[in-house]
Amino acid sequence: MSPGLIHYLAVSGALFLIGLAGVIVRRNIIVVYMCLELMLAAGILAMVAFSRFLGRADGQVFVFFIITVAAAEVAVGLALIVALFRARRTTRLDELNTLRF
Amino acid sequence: MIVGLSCGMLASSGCTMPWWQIPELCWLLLGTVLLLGGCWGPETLRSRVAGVSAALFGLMLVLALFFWAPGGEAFGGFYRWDGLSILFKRLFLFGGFIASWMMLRSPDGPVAHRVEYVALPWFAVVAMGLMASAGDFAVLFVSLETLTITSYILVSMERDRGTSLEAGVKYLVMGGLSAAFLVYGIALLYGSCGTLRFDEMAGRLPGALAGDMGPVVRAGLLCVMVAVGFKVAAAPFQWWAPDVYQGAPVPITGFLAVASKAAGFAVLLRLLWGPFGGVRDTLAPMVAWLAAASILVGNLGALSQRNLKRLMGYSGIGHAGYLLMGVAAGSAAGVEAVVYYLAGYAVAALVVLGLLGGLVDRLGGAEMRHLNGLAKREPGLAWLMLVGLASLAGLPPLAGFLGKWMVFAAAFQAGLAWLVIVAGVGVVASLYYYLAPVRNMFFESPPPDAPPLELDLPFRTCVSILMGLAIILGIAPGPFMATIGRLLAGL
Repeated sequence: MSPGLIHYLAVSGALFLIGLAGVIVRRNIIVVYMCLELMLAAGILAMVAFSRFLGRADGQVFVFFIITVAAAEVAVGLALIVALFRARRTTRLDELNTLRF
Repeated sequence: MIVGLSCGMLASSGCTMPWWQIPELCWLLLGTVLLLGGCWGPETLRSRVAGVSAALFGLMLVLALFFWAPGGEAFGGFYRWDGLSILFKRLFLFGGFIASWMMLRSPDGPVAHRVEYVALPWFAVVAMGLMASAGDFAVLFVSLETLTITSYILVSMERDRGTSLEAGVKYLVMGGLSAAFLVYGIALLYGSCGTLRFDEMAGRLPGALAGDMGPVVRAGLLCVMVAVGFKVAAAPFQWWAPDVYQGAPVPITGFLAVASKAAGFAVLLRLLWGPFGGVRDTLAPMVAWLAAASILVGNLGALSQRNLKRLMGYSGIGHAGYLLMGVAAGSAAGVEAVVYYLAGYAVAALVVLGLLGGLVDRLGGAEMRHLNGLAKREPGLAWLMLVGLASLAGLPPLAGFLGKWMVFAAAFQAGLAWLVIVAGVGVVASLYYYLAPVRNMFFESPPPDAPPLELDLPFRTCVSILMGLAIILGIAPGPFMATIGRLLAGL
């Protein structure tokens, strides 16, 4: 049996939920950031699968835009995390607590 | 040539407009010239880049106010040039103008004259303009992310101040989450409707919702609404806003509070009166619940705040709630009320944040106690601040009052009486925390060794004009409402 649309969507849904759980549970910024990328990858996978099974190319083209934007976001994001590490010597989200009451 | 580019709009009233008439291209060009000129240009430009940027924003705003006429689309429908987008683009330019004015005048330490600090708002405004004009989910996604990534940098610009970086990282996590939800939602909607275009999706979505793909459509709509909820800082997606508002440099706080929030609402209106038009009745209860949650969380959270920037963050959540009420009403009156409310909020919030930006270094901080005795040190400024806060609280005859009135009326007419009652609770709570700084300013004595507050005349003039706008919008809204009504006629 060759994989159908539903299988791709199941994998993509699982990826999305794993990523979301990671963002909520994990406290290390780098890991949280990886989980965010996982969620984006889930969206990309769903997009490509739909595009393939609908027989349309516009979804695949859109995926290139998503990848480009994600790359830009990672570039800025990692730069921010590095700058934060230099200033604070930490990569843990729960230690970012100067902005509280 | 630049003027010619954006004035070309005069001629366009047909169905298609040539791509070179798109004002965003002109703004993109200006931002790039400022960035490059500020880095490698002649010394005379480099030392004045903030002033040049503010002047150009002002010029663009004047062009936008007096020369733009709606009608047409470009790039085969990917870019829509209609009344809604024009109204919002004017608001974005206004936000950019005031933010760059604040950068120019506020002695915000070493970053004030960094060239990227001055040039990045241009790219943010380009992204917002494209968001308001999007005719396709690809355009929407790319422009929304361009705005978000630009905002990360702007928020964390004061790298040597730890709170700025911390705010940037928190914004980064929230932005990433929002982007992931948006992509997933778009993918699900694309899968069930087979298109990314707004106009095609509008026709297919009701059928898809009723058919076999119903659950997929519901999940997709939910994901997209979550992403927009993050963008406008609606509860329960609001947790980033107070931190980011407090940590960012003051001009950027103003920019985010005014322009970025408006951009989120531009997208929301564009979606609900575009591709989601056929399922608006399904989504309206969800928007109403978001509104109620935001009003309660924002206004009750603000009660205990002692930092004025953080207070603006919480109250901004509350204002997002009032705005969502107008959206939930689902009527033309509701949309007009939302646009009016956004303009009134922009003016009042920029009075408060503008004054704060000009004074924060002299006062020693943005805590409430730093405002102690401002009325004795600088009576004029204290009264300006009072008017700004009163308009935010919604006291007549200011713009904030009329905005709330119109939004409440629209919600009431749509049968959302319970929501109006919730909003009433929010307004009462907001009176308390908006008047707290007034007590500090008028009834506390200034610190004994307070230095004189030097604020130059152009800055005072700018804030006074903003205050005048808040009063004029409240007393004589006629011409303004007529413009809104005319531009939104075809929505």
